[in-house]
Amino acid sequence: MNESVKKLSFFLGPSGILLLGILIFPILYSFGLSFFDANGATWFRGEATFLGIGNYVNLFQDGSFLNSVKLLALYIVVTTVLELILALGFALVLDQVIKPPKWIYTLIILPMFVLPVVSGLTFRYLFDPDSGIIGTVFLWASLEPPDFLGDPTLAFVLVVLQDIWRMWPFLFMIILAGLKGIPKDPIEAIKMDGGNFFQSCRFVILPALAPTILVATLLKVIESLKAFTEIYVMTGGGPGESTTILSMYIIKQITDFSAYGFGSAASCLLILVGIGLTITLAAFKRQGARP
Amino acid sequence: MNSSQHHHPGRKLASWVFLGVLVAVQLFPILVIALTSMKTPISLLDDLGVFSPSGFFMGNYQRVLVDDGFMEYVSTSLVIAVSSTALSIICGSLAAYALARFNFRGRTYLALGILCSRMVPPVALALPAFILLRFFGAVDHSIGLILAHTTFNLPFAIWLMMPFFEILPKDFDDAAAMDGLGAIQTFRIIFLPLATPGLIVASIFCFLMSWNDFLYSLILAGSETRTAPLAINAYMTADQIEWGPMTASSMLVLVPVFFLCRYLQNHMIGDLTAGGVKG
Repeated sequence: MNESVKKLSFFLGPSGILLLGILIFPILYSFGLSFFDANGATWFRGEATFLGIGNYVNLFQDGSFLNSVKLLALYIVVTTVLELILALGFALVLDQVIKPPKWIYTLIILPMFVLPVVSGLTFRYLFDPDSGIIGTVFLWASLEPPDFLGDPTLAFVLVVLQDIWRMWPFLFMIILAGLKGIPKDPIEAIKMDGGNFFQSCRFVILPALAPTILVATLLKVIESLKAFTEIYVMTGGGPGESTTILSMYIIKQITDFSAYGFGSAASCLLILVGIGLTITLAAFKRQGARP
Repeated sequence: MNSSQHHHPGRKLASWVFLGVLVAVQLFPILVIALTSMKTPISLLDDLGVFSPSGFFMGNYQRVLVDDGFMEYVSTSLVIAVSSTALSIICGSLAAYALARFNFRGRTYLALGILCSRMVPPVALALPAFILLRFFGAVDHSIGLILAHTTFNLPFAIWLMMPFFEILPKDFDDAAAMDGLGAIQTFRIIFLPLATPGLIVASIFCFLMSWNDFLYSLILAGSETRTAPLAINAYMTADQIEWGPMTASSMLVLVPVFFLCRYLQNHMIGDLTAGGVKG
């Protein structure tokens, strides 16, 4: 064995072996499983029958699956757009106009560090019909509080609200980092010419921030594909299937129906989307997008 | 906006009101759980709800810590988080160094592969992880959760540490070669100490991601390996939700996180996002 191969295997070997064993192999295993009519009982006894692409065909005929994909898409679009607007707006106002002391930033981004399980339960609690403070506020105003998490539309809105509270600071941090890299001279020049804040945003800051915004959007979308815990503890996917996004659907298939093969087929599609988006992200980066 | 307006007192007041509202909105949910954790269940039904001035007591914490033995779940979480972090940092720093500083065929694709594996949703891995652990008889053993958490920690650690090795000047390699250091010594004596800030930031992130995990615990943990997030969620049963103990235990897991996040703040903006697009 030559010297450089020895060197490479020393440095890359441990991670390589680990990732092959705990990541690549399970993904391939799941991919294989998705071609079988497997459930918790048959799979462990080795009695599962081979279905070919049957699970995938069934998936696309399952209304619940299609609904969960639709909900996931809606969840991603709504949270990403709203969080991007908030993050961009607050980043511009704070960084360019108010320039607050650093500890203000610490407080604003604190929700980002709240555990998803705590965040989900907290929102469930805030909107609880009996002890929740939001219901109490409605009573102060002599209004009958709605059944927040019992109403399909409201439940989805609140799940989105929870995500916004916790995740807009994530985009905010990325955009702040992007703002640090913008040259100050053109902004000063616009001010000298009597231009206002909005003009400097319109002509200098936003064009220069475009690559950062793109990367932030992609990172947020990829992050949203992983959303699960907060929804699981907040609504359990309900009422009905109103908050059963794809990840909730997969877990329900696996735990409630023990549908191993079918659930794996849905998982594989989710992995494909995640990897597709990652490669898109890397391609943008290569074109010079760098926050 | 010109400079004379900037020092206008009204403008300054408006800025602080704006900041006050923003901070209040962001902290409101955390304040509510902090208050709830220190209130009797009855006082929550008061007209002022959780903001009623009476009914303060420490019974929820006593219940969680003494009666329910919450620290046992915390220590399970700690063991798993620390082990997975150590495994990820040890293996990851070696790999990050090689990917950042060696020239070899397929390096770019390997780095892209690492980035992709960071993006695999845990939901998709939970089932094969469960089945494989059952085959190996490791269900309800902490090694299962340690390895499961390493699936997201290791790619993340490699990806985060790479820029810390990349920015070091090429002269260090030449100096090491002149001194006759081998590859491993060069890494251990020269580069590893210089990349320590990266190692620390990566460790904190890995620890937090492991500490936060609920999904893998839900699928893989049994009675012996119940982690703190599962124990918090267990205060919600089909019959009732015990908000007092639930919020008290939530506060207990949040406190260490907030301490770590203060440390992270200075590093966050630069490191996290600079690494964000290194393909």
